[in-house]
This record gives sequence, C-alpha cells and structure tokens, in this order.
Amino acid sequence: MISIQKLNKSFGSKKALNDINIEFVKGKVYGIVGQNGAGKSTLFNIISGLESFNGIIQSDLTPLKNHLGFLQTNPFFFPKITGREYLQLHLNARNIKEINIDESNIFDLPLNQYAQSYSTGMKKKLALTAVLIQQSDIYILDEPYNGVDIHSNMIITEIIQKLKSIGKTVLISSHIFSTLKDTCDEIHLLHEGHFKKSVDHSEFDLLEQEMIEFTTGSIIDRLNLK
Amino acid sequence: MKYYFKLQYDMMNRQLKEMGLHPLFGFFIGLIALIGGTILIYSKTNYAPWIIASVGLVIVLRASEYNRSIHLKSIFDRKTFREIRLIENLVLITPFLIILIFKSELLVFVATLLISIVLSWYESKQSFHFTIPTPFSRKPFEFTTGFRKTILMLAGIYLLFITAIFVGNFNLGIFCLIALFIALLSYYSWPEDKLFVWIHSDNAANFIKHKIKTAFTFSSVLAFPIIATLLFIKPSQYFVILTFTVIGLLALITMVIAKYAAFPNKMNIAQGLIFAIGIVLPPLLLGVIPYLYTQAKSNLKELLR
Repeated sequence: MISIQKLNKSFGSKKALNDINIEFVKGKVYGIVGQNGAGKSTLFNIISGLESFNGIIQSDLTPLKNHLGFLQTNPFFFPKITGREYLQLHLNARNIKEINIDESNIFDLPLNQYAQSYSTGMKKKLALTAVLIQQSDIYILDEPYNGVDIHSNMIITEIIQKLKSIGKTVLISSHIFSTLKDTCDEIHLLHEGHFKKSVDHSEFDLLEQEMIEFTTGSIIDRLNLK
Repeated sequence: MKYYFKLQYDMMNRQLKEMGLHPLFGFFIGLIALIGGTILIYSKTNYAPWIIASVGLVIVLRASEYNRSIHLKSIFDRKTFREIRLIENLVLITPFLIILIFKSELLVFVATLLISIVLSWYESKQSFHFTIPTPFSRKPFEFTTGFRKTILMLAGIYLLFITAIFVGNFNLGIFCLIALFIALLSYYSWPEDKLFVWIHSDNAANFIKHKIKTAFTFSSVLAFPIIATLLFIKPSQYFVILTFTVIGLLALITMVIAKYAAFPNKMNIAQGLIFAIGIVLPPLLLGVIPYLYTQAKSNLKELLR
C-alpha cells in the first residue's frame, strides 16, 4: 500500500502538485488522467523517489523504490546498447539471475539490435519488458500505450489484468480513455496539480463525457482552421 | 533562418552556462585552447597544417549528422536548408582557416575551404543494423557502449602497440598504454539518466563500489595484453610499466567517482580541475578520491536509499 498525504511540489514559482492526498492499495489498478502538464509524470516521479517533494509518502514496502517498476513516458536508451543488454542491465540492477531473457521477450523484439534503432513503439515495449522482468510489487506505467501497435495494445491490457490478478498494484496514465476503462478500478482526474475528481468503475463513462466537454468545448475554433 | 542561428547561439551560451562558465569566458578558453593546441602541434610535427585541417573538417562533418539533417529538412525548404548547412560549415571551419592563413598554408587553406563547402551537400546515412560484438555484454552499460563507440580507436592503439613491439620502441608501447586508459576514461565522461541509477537496489556505497569493481576488472582485461607484453619484453622496466598501470587505474577509479560526484550533471569546471590536478600529481589522488567519494555518496543517497 502507498499512502500519500499533503503532497506538494513546485518548480520555481510554478506549483506542479498541490495538496495531493490519495491511497493506492494492493491488487488494484489506478488510472491517472489529465491534460499535458497536469502533473501526472511529476506525481509518478515523486512516488518513485526521483523527485524531491513536500508532504508524506508512506508504504508498508520499504524501501519503496526497490519494490517499484517504473515505465517512463519517454524511456531513455543508451547509444550502442542492444535490447538484450538493456534487459540485462535491469536484471543486474536488482540482482535477478533466474530470468530467461529470450522467454521474457513476449513482444518478439529484435534483442540483438541496438535499442536506439528501434521504433517508438518497440522502445516502449522494450522498456515495459524491462520493468516487468524486475518482478516488482507496484508498477507505475506512464503512458504504456504510447506508440505501440494494436496487437501490443491488447497484450499490454492483458498484462495489466494479469498483474492485478496476482495482487500487484498498478498506476497507469494514459490519454486513451478506453484502455483505462478496460483495466482500472479507479480513475483520478488530475487538473492543474490537484485531484479534481475520483471515480470508480460505475462512473467511468460519465467522467469520459465530462472530460470531452471540458477539454474540447469550443477551443478548436481558436485555431481558425480554413 | 536568422532566428535559427540566433537559437544556435543561445544554445551554445546555455551549454557554457551549464558548465559553470560565463559565455565570454568560455569563448576565451576556446580561443586559448585553439592557439595553444596550434602551437603544440606545430612544435611536434611537420604535418601540423593537415592535422589542424582534419580537426576542423571532423567538426564540420558532425554537422552533417543524419537526424539533424532530417530535422532541418522537415522545417525549412530545400534552398534554405542548403544555405543553412553552407553557413554552418563556414562558421565552424573559420577558426581553423584563420590559423591556416596566419601560418601561410595557402594550399591547405584552399583545400579545407573547398571540402567544407562540398560537405555542406553531404548528409551522413543512418547507421546500418550491425551490432559490434563486445566481451562486456553481461555487465552493461559503460564498457558495453564505450567499447563499441571506441572500437576503431582501440584497434588503432593495439595496432600501434604491435608496431612498437616490432620496432622495439618501449616508449611507444608505454604511450599505447596511456592512450588506452585515456580511451577508457571517456566511457565515464557523461552521466546516465537518473532512472538508471534509481533501478539499482544497492545503497549508494555499494553502487559506487560495484561501478569501481566493473571499471577495474574490464579495464584490466583490455590493458592486460599490453602490460603483459611490455613486462615480457622489458622486464627490467617493470617499475615504469607498473607505475603507468597504477596511475591509469587510479585515474579511471577517480573518473568513476567524479562522475557520480557531479551526478546528475556533467562534471563542472571545479570538479574537472580537481580531477585534472589529481591526474597530473598522482599522490594528490589520495586526497582527491576520498573527497570526490564523499560527494558522490551524498549525491546518490536520495536515489539509492
């Protein structure tokens, strides 16, 4: 379980997160939605321990970071490192020896090629594989569906459901609402640094409708497209 | 186009500021390095003008990088793209052309100028999918990526070393050992993304220890053929050989620690100076290493609790 209380984060004078209070419990999938810059990635970075913050984050898993698998929005890849070596690096980091990399390659990635030469979707799948083989208790997946093909989309949804069924906690952010509806137990709308709305399964459609109205409205007219 | 060059200028200034330098001071250091380098090269070899021209052209060539060209082409029309590339090449080569004209090397000057102009039409192709095998695959990433990046340099060093053995030039052999360690130092010259420290379950002290152990083991693998051969053919010079080996290894260890002392940023001027002083006066490493180690440990503490 992760309990977050009175979490605040500022970058200079800009308030990125404002009084965040939330609990993530074992075996549940949480969706975090919001516009670009709403604070989703900042929140994930803070939970992971990659960013400093003001407030309290408590967990029964200590140290929390060693129980977390974190897929970043834009995973970083070293130059001239193969996919296989990238996965090996993640295994070495957690001192995991019993994983067979080839068997874990569920996305059929060309593991002997340099990871930097992969397409956007392949990079995302490699990074996701790396996170999964680290065998964590909590998974933070920041935009896991970004750039991946429809087939892999389905596999990722299956993976999330599997993680839930084996009692893992999953935090996902996605701009594709349908993927969240398929996987999440709760969805939290982050707006300008604080949670504006939190809903469970029964209210997902309502939230989606509200978001469409709130987000689009008449703003496209401002582009003056001709 | 004007705005593009203004952006390039701003980016350069920002990079200098990130290094802890006032832009004007940065340009001044660059100028001193250029003049000092020229004097040094001219004092050492008759091929100085060609070396200076080559250095300039290598820098120019870097502006032809594939992704960069694609990006520029996607923004500008064909004619503007060509103009930008030509102006860039001329700006980059100008300091070297000034040196060549100052040294009255007219032939090299004209050749360099023409090649720079021709290179503005050149676009490097995307690298092909060939993976260079490395003995360091099991423990990514510094030696894995570094070995592949410097493979040509390493091959050159070993070839030069073989030549040194055949002509019986011991000093050249020692030079090869030094060159090898300099190549290895470059493997630790840039900081990785924070996440790649964060993923480790070790604490800061163990993480650094692990990094040092890997650097020590893998550098020994690469240096061993040179050290063993030198000891075999010149056993009487064992003290010199071992001294350079120890200094090389100590420099590498210092580099590993210095990298994390500056983490997540690149080493700043002050840290670079401390490192350089330690290398020039090796006994000072006894003080430099613990100092940088304390800084590195405190830097990594937040990420590796």
